[in-house]
Amino acid sequence: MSKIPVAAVEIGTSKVCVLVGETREDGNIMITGMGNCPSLGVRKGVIVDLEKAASCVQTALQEAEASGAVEIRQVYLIVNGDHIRASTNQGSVPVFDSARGISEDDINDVMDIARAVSLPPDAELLHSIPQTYSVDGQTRIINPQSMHGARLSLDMLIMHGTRNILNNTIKAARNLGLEVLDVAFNGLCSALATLTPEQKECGVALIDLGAGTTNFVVYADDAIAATGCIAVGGDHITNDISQGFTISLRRAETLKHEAGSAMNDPADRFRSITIPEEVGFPACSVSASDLNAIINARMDETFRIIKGELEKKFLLPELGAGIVLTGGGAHLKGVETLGEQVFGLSCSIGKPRYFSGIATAHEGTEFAAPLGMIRYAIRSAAKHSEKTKSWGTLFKRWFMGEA
Amino acid sequence: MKLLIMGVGNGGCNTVRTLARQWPDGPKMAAVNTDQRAPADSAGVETIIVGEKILKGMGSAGDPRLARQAAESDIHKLSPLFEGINLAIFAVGLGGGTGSGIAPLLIEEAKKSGAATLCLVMFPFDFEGARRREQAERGLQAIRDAADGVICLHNQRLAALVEDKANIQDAFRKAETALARGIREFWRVLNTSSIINFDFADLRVFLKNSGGNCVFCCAEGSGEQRIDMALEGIQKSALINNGRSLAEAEAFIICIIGGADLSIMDVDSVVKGILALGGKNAHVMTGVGCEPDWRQTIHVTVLASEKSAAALQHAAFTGRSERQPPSPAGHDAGIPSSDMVQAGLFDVVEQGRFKGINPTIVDGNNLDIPTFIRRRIQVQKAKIANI
Repeated sequence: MSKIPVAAVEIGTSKVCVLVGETREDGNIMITGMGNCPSLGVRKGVIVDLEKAASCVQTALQEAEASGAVEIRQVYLIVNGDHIRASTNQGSVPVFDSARGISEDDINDVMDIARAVSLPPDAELLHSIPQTYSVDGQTRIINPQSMHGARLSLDMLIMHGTRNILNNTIKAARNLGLEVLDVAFNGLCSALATLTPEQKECGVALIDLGAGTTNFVVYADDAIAATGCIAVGGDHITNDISQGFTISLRRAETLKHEAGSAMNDPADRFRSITIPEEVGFPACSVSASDLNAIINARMDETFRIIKGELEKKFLLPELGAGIVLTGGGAHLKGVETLGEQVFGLSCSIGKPRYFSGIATAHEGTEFAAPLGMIRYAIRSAAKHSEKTKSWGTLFKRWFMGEA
Repeated sequence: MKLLIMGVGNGGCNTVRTLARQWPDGPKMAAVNTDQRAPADSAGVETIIVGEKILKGMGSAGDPRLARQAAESDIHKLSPLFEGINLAIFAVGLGGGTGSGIAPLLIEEAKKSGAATLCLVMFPFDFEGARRREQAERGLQAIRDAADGVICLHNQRLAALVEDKANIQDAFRKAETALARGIREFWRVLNTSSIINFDFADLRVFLKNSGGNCVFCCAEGSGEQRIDMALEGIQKSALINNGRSLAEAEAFIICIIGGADLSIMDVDSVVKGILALGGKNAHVMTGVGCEPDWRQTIHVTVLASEKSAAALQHAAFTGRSERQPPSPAGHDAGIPSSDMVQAGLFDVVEQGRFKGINPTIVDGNNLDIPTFIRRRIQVQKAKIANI
């Protein structure tokens, strides 16, 4: 295990976060440095103003370097946005020596073939994650090593994103003289930070409620069955509130944090909330039930879109461990109850697990993604010698049940 | 104006049968179902069982797709029903397979033969479970897309009228009776409101702008106290949530049918009485008609929209000004209401946080437009506090 600290950078829609972490003897991850800065120039998980975004990274980086007393030169970078798409590609090979059983070479061959997918010209392969194997038509085999059979097939989850958008995110880090060691999709990082092996085995859907995007990752039988990104998030709720009440975005954001709930409470029927006076804005009041109706409508819709995606792939019955919510949106009052109502499954808040150190970093769900990236980075650094040039090639191991 | 009243699914068929009993000399009525076991004692109702080959007359097992397939296989039985019809009123019980699956298909068929379509739907009771409710929501969406107008009746709101110990059959009968009564009243209103004209084009504009988010109630009064009786009936009506929906509604249609003795005072007190229950700034459309045979009798029908008045007013006026001289059928009047709503929605996006960013489009919906606007949830702007 590596004792060298690693750094993860997330250029998110609401915040830019830099975390520094290292492994401890008990296997937990210790967060030793942290920088956090409100984000500018990012919408829906995608950079729209490179200069502003880079200056935010700079601020967060300096803060992290100061708090961790390290110099950060190399980083692992989180990427996000609904340009990131997932699809499943099947590859199959004849088994070389069927008398001896399936060898590691056979497995490597089938991985290469399943990975060889033709992408659109502007797309870049981000992750290729093995889902399940099948041997001679027997499906859902998790590890086929030394099994007997004539033909080995593999379903490979291929994630790809638009090259230019990915490069912009990388550029924001490179412009500061940082070397980007690897990149990973936000949703997968959150899964790595919050889900337990038991949950993955039973089947679970992780929903990361971010500011700009809502990402989901579904595990069934210990393998990733589906993942996706919807460019709707907390920003949309704030915008809805702002438009519904015709108040400023900043006031809407405060209102959402302090008084918002995803559930309509009949007791709120005649309650009104007062917004205090500010320079340029007089004090005003809004109805609590209207506020919650706006939030409820948006969250309900977002959950239903995800439910629709899962229904399309027949995954709802596979989710024995239900739904886990994380990301900043998991702080919203009533969001679990709404999730239970929409999905008809148990719903819980996924806090990052097995982290220690700076408390604010590992207690809040909004840091799930950068924490997961640290976990990924530490394992990736440990296997550095095996590293190949392609992005995310190591990722597959960590998502295959190990975490 | 030639009318067809059609019930779809078990709930809808029962409604039409109830209606046929109450209204023996009424217009043409038909019932479409997948389930052969449904009672066939239907004098005056043409009953059509679809999909006998596919379903063997066993019902659709709550599967809308199956029901639709069944209806498609027997479409030759259904399309002749709409020949020569100007207005088709559908009664649909949502939640099961037949109503949700077949109704949109029938509405399209009706439109093909040139009929205007009005759909009254029953939303399931809460005790029928989440699955049926979701199915109902999906069905309602499909019906909204297809029909010219949709009016929703929430069975759960009726539950308040039924005693806890009451027979469960009574609960369903009550829902069906309410729907049947609604259909009859709407027909009467559209047919006889000639003193102050209210026709299908008016109704359509209203329904389009309320997005089906409207509730209705009917009440009647007779004798000396007829006005008070009718107003009390409206106030108590469970269909509008014990009058609460009225208090929050921002737009109304009030239709009054009276006898030859209907006076201007009567009309005035009814309208004022209803407005006293609702918001002061509500937008009101009124239709008044006369049944020459009635004496000391008044029927009042109220439709209350849960959508903001400003948009409705705008639509109603543009709708009216662009309309050609009123045609008896009304349905072929071109009404640009949907364009108005679209343009309005785009303005909203341009002002928001996502100005100039690639919009998030999922299943044809622009998710950057606030959900509450797309779902037509009514929200009040912030009020300046007086300190």
